[in-house]
Amino acid sequence: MRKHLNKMAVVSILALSCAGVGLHAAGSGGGGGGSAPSQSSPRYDPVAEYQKGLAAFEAKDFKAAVRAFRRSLSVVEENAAGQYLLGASYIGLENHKRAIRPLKKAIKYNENMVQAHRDLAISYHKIGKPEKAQAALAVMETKCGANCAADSALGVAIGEVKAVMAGGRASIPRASGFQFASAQNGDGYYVRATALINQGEYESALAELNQAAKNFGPHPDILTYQGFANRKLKKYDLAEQYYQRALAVAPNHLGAIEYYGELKVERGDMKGAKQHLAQLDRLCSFGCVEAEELRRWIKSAHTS
Amino acid sequence: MGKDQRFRTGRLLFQTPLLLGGQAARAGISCESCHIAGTDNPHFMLPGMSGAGGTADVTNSFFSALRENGSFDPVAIPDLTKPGKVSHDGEALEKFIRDLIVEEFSGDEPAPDVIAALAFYIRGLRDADILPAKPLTLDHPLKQIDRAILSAKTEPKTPEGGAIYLLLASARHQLGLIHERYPGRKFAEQRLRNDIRRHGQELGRIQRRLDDPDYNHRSALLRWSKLFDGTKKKLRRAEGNSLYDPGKLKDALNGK
Repeated sequence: MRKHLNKMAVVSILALSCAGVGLHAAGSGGGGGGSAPSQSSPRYDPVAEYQKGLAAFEAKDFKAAVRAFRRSLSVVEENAAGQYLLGASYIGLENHKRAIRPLKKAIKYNENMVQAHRDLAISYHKIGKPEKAQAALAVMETKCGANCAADSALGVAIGEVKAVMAGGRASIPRASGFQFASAQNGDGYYVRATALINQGEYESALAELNQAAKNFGPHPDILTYQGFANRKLKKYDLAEQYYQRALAVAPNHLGAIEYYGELKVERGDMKGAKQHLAQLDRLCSFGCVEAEELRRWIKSAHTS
Repeated sequence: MGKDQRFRTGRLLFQTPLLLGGQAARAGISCESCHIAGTDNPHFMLPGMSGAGGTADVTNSFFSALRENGSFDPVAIPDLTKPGKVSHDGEALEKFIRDLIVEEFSGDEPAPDVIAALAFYIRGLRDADILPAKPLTLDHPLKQIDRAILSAKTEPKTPEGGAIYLLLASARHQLGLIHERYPGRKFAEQRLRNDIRRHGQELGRIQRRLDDPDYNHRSALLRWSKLFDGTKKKLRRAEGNSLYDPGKLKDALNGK
């Protein structure tokens, strides 16, 4: 029997960087074509713009940061970290008035973002709206509760707001916790999140994904897994929102299309699920696990 | 089926990303990714999963919760052409392959003919001669596709498709690799890329009909091969403009 192995000079996998570790490329295959003018207007890469914004913010180039975060948010508005950083960038430009709206949105999309609450209250105070500043402070005090610990994150933030209202200065820098955002850190959060999802620890996975999102911005892979984890927690409406955000960033994102299709199977929308499968079969000319998985889901639903 | 053919079938499955499940499949990782030509891969690096190059922590929930051991302990990727921890006697190797796919990588339960082909290939690695490395050309994936299609025609049909389904997946994967290396800057090249995609999609349609007992996949593959022969000629003519050309590849990697 003649057997031989050819050790071709194949391209080894040198690195599956986090742009690829279980992270899918933002869409693959397919071409657009035939879109309406409104759909072909300039679009920004929200992840790249978020990263630019972060770099500009850290370099204290707040004008550039504002520009970049606005571009990122023009694609995915429901990004709490991005909204907060936009607000913080306006504050960096001493424009507390403009900071109000993004800070309110940051709280809307993540009501537990302590820094957003703090900076909103301070900004209201700075623009001479004491009633609104007091109201924002009251929200923080309610969240902290009757036994609010002074050294808790909220407790410290409440102390900061009160100090500013009394004529002092805030000593904790804005956007603390974002300073060390990096692709490497983001990789770690993402990998841990994936492992936690595989273990069924969905709440813990979401915490890691939120940290990954701080590093990467509205990355479609992160958004997709945020959708997945929420779906497993039976928060279907929230899951759907995340899938839709992922597809707003990357319309051909295979994972988002697959998991959204699975959500539709769970909801009994077989027609919708099959449309997703047809889309995957079109995009995956050379085969993909996403199409195989969704096909399996649809088949199981039909036979059960 | 002759022994050479069985060996090639096993190797094709070994190189198919769809064989493994979970995160590995989503990242396009096949057995070959870690074990190039059945050996090791000193360059393998998966952030968060590898320590030094050529290592992987496969007891991590990232791949499968079943093997999670609670510690970061990447191990060197073993060279399968050398004797290792798994006996090749009896059914031990078959069980090891099955457990690896299902438990280590969250893959689907492989069909018996798939395990048999993989086991034959891995057993054969120790007897195989390792030929010296040579530059990758278009010839390589085209031969892989031919072998995959031939094996798919020869393998006995089983319910759900089994090895045939994965062999066609292997052929599609190779088409994808060719597609990557024909960048398509010119109109004619774009048409060639579209042709490659269409061939991939047609193989997908054949795959999806494999569980129909009345479907004659051999005839379908014969027709497919005839059509693909025309594309092969175009691919060969355009090879000098593709990324199989070392100069073009170098320019592309340098952003030119």
